[in-house]
Amino acid sequence: MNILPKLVSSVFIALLLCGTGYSEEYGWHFREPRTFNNWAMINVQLVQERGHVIIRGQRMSPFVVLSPSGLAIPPDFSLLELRVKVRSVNSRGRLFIKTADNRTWRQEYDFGGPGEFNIHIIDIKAISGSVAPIDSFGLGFDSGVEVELDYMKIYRPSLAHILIGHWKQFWEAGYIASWTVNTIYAPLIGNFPFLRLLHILVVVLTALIIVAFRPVNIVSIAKAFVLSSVIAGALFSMRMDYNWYMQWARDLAFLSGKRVEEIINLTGGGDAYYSAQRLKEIIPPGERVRVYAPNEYERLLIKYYSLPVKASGGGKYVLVYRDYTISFDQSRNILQKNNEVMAKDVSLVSTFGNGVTLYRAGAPNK
Amino acid sequence: MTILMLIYALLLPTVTGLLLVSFFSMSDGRQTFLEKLFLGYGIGIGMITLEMFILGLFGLKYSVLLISSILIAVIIFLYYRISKSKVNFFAAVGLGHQDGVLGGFLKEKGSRLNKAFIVFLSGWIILKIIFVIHESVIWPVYDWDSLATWSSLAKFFSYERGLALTLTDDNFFGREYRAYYSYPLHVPLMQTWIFLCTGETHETFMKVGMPLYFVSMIGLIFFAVKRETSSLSALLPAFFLSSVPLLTYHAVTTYADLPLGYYSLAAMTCFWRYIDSAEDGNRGSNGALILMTASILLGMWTKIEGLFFTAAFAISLSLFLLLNKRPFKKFLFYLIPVVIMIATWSIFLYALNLKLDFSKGKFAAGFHLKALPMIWDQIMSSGNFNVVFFFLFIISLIAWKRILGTHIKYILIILFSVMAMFVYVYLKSDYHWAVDPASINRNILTFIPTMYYVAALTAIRALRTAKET
Repeated sequence: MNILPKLVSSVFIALLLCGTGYSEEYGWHFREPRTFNNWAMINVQLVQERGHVIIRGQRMSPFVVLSPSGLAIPPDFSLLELRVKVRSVNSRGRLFIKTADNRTWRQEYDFGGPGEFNIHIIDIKAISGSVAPIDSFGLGFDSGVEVELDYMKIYRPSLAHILIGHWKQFWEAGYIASWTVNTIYAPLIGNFPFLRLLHILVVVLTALIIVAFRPVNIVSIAKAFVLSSVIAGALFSMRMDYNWYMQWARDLAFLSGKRVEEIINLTGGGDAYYSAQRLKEIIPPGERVRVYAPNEYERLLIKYYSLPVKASGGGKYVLVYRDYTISFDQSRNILQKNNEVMAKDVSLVSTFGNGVTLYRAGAPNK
Repeated sequence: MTILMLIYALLLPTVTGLLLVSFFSMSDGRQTFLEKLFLGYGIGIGMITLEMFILGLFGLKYSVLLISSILIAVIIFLYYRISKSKVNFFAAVGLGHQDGVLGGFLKEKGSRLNKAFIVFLSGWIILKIIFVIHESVIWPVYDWDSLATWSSLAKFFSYERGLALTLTDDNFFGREYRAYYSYPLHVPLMQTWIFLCTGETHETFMKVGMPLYFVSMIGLIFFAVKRETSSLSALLPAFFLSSVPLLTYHAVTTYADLPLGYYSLAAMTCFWRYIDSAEDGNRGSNGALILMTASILLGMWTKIEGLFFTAAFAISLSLFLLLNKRPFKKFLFYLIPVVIMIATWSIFLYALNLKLDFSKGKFAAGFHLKALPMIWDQIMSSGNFNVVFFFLFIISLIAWKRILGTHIKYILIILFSVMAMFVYVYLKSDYHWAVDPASINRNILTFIPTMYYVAALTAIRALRTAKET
């Protein structure tokens, strides 16, 4: 009689652990710079600190680390686990995969809390859906971000791995960033949205309550439905608020006590902020500045932080903020972009570093 | 000193709003002090931005003294009028309410389990409020929309000390600091006011008005539902509303969706008080109608989408007056201020040769049905709105007879009209942002507080037995 439960539990454990798990993984440990020997680095500076290799991206453009090619990782090695720490609060990571049939895929992922190691488990198969072996992969980061990689491994998951992965994924607490201000997604249970499951729960609970506490009439149906919805709604609220309380704990640890300037720096606006402070020191009161930047966001940041110095297309001063398409022709005293003259009678006022330069110019082209 | 001035910046409009709300609801003794305070905050902060707009139109330089002196004059006038009335001043502001400041919240009898739930939910909400306030003063503004549409303009106005309406100026009306010229000015001017008071452009304090909208919204829904039911039942919509994830984020940063959501909720609670008290011929009902109109005006002054609420309230109010054989002149209480507001803003834009910024989206022939699955997906799968859509639709079906037999139908008309208007725009627009999860979720955010309120009122009706009805 005692054999049956033992047999069932043994079969269950065997099922749970079937698959090869960590034993056949492809793993890389990044504590030593020599791990990167065969890797390609684009816009990256490697520094070893605190027992980890810190990857510093150059400020002007996103940066990538690329694995050696020809890895030939079988397609059933479908989970990629990455332990990484990032000192930024408004940045995302990108995973690039190239398969042996010469196709590439890209997947973005959130870093989680800043200043702490987070483990990210990414289902490679769900991204590519390819049956071809993985040839190589790359890790991409936003410009200026400081990244500490601990390890990365790719493995064929057992059932236990998948379940643990789903559990971790469900409790993964997102961190607010500029893109989450539009949409916040509910966690998934596997590939199934938690919120959809709660809708099903409402229907099932309502039916059960009605059956258990007859008679059936409109008021009893309403009571059962309201009670079920309150239970499901409370589960949802608590799970979603869990994100905020995790964020709070992280912010208390990482941001609390920091000056606003430091936090602006962590959001990726630091260079614009400090450039604007320099600008305000140099430009005389009442003068206006023309701002050129590679995109509208950075242009806006500079203008915002530069106030009370006003931005204007007619300003005597010209700030070129990391817009490498604009060049200064010293022989003709002009600033030009793609052979178009942006400003005449130009003289260099100051170079702030990191590709930020202030000029004084004559009247603008109308 | 900065902190003291920040407190002043928030307290002055709140006191003005509180007195205004008290003045218009003197003979309606159902509101507690806190409910009037939560409504007063929104009305007061809206008054100050409207005042700043008018001062700007006349080319007067903004100063704390000038702006404050007008509001202080309003405070003195309202205090005088309330004191001269038959109602005691403390009673008028809700301090003499029979259930106390908290509306009998702590005195309520019930089982231990009931009390335990009350303590748990209140604790959760209070923790959330502390979180929102704390986070909002940690995080500076860094989102594109916040900067492009509101905060950079606010900073420009504060250094300019006016609206910069000189046509020949390179920075005319905030040129270089705004993405859209026809966007209403409530949110930027609110930040300008805080800038002016604190005397420095503080990157986090400038948006401290937002968490207070969040707190006021939670308070408003609690007290408005509390009038109808028990404390525990009133805490539930407040708890669910406080946990809407996107709303929490918007309370930490500075966007216009949260204030519009607040004003639509404020208007709805006033409308419900109006139609509820009009039934008994209560004299306070006119005051509720005026406060509803004020909330609607401030909604329009916050975001262009406020026009949808304006139209929806107009439909429902006119139906209420017609079907209940009320004097239709009451509709003028609503219509005249709305027309004045729209006309003023339109003339202002026309006079300055500023076109309406609808240019990115244009209406297309036929319907773009691709929006429907996206809306469905966001409602059923995204993490923003809990099960409230499903709840409201099902509970409305269950209680449809009671809905048709009571005034609840009028508030449901408003909600469903607003939803229909948004869906119509999605289906008719060929602009890709209109069928993007960002638009859908942020537009829903503007009516989600109202939705929780309406869902709560509908559920209360559905749960009443025939005997109770």
